[in-house]
Amino acid sequence: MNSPRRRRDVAGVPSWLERVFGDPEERLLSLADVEGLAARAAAFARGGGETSLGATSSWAGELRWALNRATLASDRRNHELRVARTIDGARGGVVTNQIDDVSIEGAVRAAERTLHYDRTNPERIPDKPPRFDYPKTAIWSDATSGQPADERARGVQAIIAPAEQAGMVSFGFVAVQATGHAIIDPALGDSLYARYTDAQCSLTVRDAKGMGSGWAGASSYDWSRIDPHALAQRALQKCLASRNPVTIEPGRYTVILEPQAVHGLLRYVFAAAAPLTNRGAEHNPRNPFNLRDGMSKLGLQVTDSRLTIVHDPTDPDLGMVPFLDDGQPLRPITYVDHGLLANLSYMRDYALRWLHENLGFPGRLTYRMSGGSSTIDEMISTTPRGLLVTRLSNIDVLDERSTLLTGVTRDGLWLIEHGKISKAVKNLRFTESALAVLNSIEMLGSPEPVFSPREPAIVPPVKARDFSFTATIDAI
Amino acid sequence: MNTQVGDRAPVAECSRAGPQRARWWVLFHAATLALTTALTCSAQTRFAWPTRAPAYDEYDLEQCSAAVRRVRQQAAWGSRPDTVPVPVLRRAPEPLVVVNTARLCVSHDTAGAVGGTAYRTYMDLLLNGDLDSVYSRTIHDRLRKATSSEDKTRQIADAVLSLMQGRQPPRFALADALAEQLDTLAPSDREARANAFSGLLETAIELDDSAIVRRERSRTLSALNAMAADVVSNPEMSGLLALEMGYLSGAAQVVMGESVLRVQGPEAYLDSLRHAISTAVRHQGYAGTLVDSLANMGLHGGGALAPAVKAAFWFGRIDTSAAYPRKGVISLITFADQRCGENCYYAYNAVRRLKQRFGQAVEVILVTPTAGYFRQRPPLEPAAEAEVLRWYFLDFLRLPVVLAVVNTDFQTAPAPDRRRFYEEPLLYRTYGVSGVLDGHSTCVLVTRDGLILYRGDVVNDGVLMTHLVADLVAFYAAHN
Repeated sequence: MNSPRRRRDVAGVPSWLERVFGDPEERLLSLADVEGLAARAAAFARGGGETSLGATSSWAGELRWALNRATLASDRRNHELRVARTIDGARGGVVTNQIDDVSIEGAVRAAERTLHYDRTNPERIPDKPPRFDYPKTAIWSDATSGQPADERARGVQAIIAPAEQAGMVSFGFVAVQATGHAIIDPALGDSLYARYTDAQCSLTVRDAKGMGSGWAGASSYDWSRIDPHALAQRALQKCLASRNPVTIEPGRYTVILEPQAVHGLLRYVFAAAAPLTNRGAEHNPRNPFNLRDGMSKLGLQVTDSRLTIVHDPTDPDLGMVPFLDDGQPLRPITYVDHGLLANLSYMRDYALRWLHENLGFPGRLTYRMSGGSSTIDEMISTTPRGLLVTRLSNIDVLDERSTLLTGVTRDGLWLIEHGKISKAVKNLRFTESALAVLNSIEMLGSPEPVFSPREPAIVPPVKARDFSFTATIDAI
Repeated sequence: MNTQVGDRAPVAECSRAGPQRARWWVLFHAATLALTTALTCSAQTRFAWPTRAPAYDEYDLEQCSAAVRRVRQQAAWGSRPDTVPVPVLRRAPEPLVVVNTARLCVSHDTAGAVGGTAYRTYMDLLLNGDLDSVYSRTIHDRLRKATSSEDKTRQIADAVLSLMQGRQPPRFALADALAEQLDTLAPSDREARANAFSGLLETAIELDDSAIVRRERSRTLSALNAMAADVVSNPEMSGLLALEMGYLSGAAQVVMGESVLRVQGPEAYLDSLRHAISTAVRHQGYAGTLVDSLANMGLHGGGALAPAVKAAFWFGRIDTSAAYPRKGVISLITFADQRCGENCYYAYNAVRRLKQRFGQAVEVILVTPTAGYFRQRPPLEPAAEAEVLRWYFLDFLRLPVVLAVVNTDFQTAPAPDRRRFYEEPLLYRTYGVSGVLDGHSTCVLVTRDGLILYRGDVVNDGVLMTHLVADLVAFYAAHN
């Protein structure tokens, strides 16, 4: 926390301002701070029972721009205290962002008032809290937490400059955040605490006449893993190459989906494999992994046999908080193993009831999808006629059971003819099943991080046949 | 521009007043800014939790009804109604705070101003606020305006049901006064009439009030008989009606202490029940298998010998070599499951009350299955789980029972599925157990000779079951 860069960042701050807004060096509440707050909250409690406290303190720096000019620069910090009181099994809770004694006492009183709307239940007996081993995950970066505002501003200037020089307009944002997250609950036994960072950069470069658009973005827990200049060049090149698009007939095309487009489709496959309900795929006929009533497709081939999809909290490229709010640790899980459905995600109650395990697989949209090593250039060169898709947008589910989705392409769509990109084409609406795409793979690329804030994913580009486009879109 | 000497004086004055005025402007703006900042900051840092008292006079009837429910919920917080016997619970008056809320809320409404569905809400609020005289006046005003005898019958029947069913405490006097008017009316709507009287009688049975039961039984049965004439063409309705008559008759007999069980014993009671139901069904003109099946339904599972309870683990047995239910002891076999949680608290408390009243005269056998896990402690082997179940039922819940833990067989689906599929224990099939997890578990009353006297639901048939046990105990005491 004592990096020289941070010191330089605050060197110009007058001391009276520091006194008003607190020491910037202590932007996050530590575990000791939160334990102190929990002890104070417990001291204010009346009527017995238990007091639990969840605290999330965060610092966020952000810079947004539009039409090549900065529109918002912010440096925010906040505390969120979730105070909960439990008496005879009845539970009430409130949230406050004040940490002085008067406010904490007010929050405790309010929590006690709200618990009277809950029923008492002696059955919520304080059972022996389970002990878990939490995985070591990479989620903290000094480069993110210590990013000075002036460096952010200079970085954004460098991002805007190429677009401006090319006569294009740039829009986007750079955001960094550092968060301290703690849960102190007697029912959990342990005090859980994690510090994590989050960095995002997303930009769209558009032709000044609105004739072309290019996008690039990246997110990671570590700002040093994001190359804003490369993103700026990429968005600019896509914009320049996508100008003056021609209209083509909708229909079935071979498509090369860039990783961001694949991620857009995969979200809905994950929603089925890791449903946040206590109804497993076995008992939900609308779930695509439901085979028939009471049976899932576990063990059956559900995608192309080259494909493997793994959720691993210890993956150094996938930074994630190692526990959920109910104290469950994250665990590695292989969803698809060479095309076979190897595991499904269940909530804890379902896991207790059916698997007799006290851990559910948390349905987190963090995954690594792998299985190939082709490059996008190789995919293009082997395509007689097809489309290259930058990303998909406005996706809606038409049919949950078949993962039939509809949405539009955006920020760069090109026609490939005879192994080369021949021209930019106007955006198209697609109506296609995500699982069908994963079963129509011709080539699979090597995976790379995509823009997926707080739910990092490593996704390869995919070349798939017979992707269905159903309408032409005029919007660029 | 020509400048005269005399023009300079005002200019000089202006130049002196300018800085002064500017200074005041700066001071004014600085003060305004400081005040605004201070107020804003204090609002940010001194957030007060709102504790505004509700403005009942601004509430409409639906909001009033919701407010009364809220206040009732808050007043009842911490008390467990499922620990109190139904008759005691139903007789308890509304808490004063609920009465006051209802009064405050309804004070700005009048019967004339409300109509349609709001009328019923208004009348409910009058009863919640103990404004029975206003209620009575309002209902009589409305009856005077009724256009036909049928309309009047229906209104009275609705009012009687609303005064009795789910009302705390039931307004017997008001309901009875209204019901008397039904006798003077032409029987234009027999179903409404029968419903009104059934409601009165069923509430009296629920409250365990033998005086009112005695008063209401004959006219309820006659109203049901009159209704039977209308539905006799429908065999299903007719059969159900006969069953209801049998139930009302049987339950009322039990509550009034006129049961043959106490005097003549279980065999005679079962025979009487068989005969009563068969007669009632035959009276409707049906015979053969329908009569037999309805008669069996009317027996409520009674009449057969109780199969032995075969459990993998026993806790709290007095005689470890004897088969349970033991010969020579009145037994109540109840089925429970730890996953039922608080849903089963009423049943547990019914068991406690039964043991408190009858002591060693009744032996309660609580049968529970293994589930493979307890709370968040999976997986558990049967022996370990039986020990946890012993702790839960005998130590944590302190149930005065003999605990029988039945091992539930399961099959595990092959990987990667790995789910466990449990089979229903054979004992459950033998006893026809249902409703274990929703708290309406089956309970079986077994005589000293091992004869099933009654199979029912602990929650719905609690009063009846207690009377049956009392009668059995009295019979055995008299015949030993």
